[in-house]
Amino acid sequence: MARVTKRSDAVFYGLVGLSAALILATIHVVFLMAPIESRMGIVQKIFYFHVPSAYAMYIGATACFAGSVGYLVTRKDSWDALARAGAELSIVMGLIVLVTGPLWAAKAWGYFWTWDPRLTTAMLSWMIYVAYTVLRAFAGDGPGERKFAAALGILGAANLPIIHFSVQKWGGQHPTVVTGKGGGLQDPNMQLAFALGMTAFTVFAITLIYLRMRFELTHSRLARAEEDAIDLGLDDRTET
Amino acid sequence: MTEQTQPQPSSPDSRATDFKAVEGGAGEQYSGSTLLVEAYSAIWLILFFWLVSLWRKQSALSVRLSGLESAIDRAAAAKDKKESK
Repeated sequence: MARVTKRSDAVFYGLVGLSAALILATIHVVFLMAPIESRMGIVQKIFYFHVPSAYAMYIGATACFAGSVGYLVTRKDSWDALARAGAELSIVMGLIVLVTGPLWAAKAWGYFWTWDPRLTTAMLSWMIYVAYTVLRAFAGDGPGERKFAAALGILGAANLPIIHFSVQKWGGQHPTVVTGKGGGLQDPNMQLAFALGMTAFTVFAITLIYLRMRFELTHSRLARAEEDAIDLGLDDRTET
Repeated sequence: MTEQTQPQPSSPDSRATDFKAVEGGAGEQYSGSTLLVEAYSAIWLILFFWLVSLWRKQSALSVRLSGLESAIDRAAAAKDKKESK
C-alpha cells in the first residue's frame, strides 16, 4: 500500500514538474519568439492561452462524462471522483475562456460580448458544470444524488459538439483560426507557441484532474472513517 | 510692441456643436497591451485562487482523517483487549 502511494506521489510530482516546464516554455515562446500579429497587434497573444484553456475545458467535460458513465455502470467512488474533478476543471478553464475571450474581443471587435453562437453555447456549457458542482456541494453525497449528478454530467457533454460546430453551422463572429485545412497561423514561431500551449494545457489539465481526484478520494475515505468511528461509539468530531 | 488682438465675443449659437455616438463599436478605445496584461493576470489569478483553496481544503481533510484514523485504531485496540480478557 505504501509502495502504491509512493509511486502515485512520484507520478503526481512528475506531472506537476512537466506542467510547470511546459507552461514556462510556452510563456517564453509566446512573449520572446512569436511575432506580433499584423492586424490585431499584441492582443493576439491572448490566443495562445485562450484556445488551450478552451481545450482543457473540453478535457474536463470529457472526464466528467467518462466518470459519470463509469459511476452509473460500476458505482465506484473513483469514477464519481473523476466526474467531480472533470466538472470542476471545466468550470475553472471555462472561466478563463469567458474572461480572456471578451478581453480579446474588446480590441478585435470593439465590444466585450455579443450573443454569438460560439460564445452563447460556451457560456451555457460552463453554466451546466456550475449547476453540477452546486448540486454536488449542496444536495448531499448519497447514491441518489450521485446518480442524478451523473445524469447531469452526461447531459453536459451533449453540449460539447454543439460548441465546436456552432461556428460552422450558425456562423457568427467568432473566428475559426484552427481548422482541418491547416489553420491561420502563418509564422513558424506562432505555430510553435500554439503547439506548446496546447501540449502544456493537456498535461496541466491531467495534473489538475489527478489533484482534484486525490482530494475527492480523501473525502470518501474520511466519510468511511466517520462511519467506522460511529460504529465504535466514538464522537465523529474526534481530532486526536 | 505689437498690440495683441482680443478674441471677439461669439454668440452661443455660433459655438453650438453636435455629440454623436460612435458607430460600429468602440474601435480603438482599448489598449491592446492593457487588455493583454489583464487577460494574463486573470488566467494566473483564477488558477492561483483555485489551487490555494484546493490545497487548504486538502490539508484540513488530511489532518481530520489522520486524527480520526488514529482514534479508530486506539478504540479498536481497546475493544480487542477488552474482548480478550
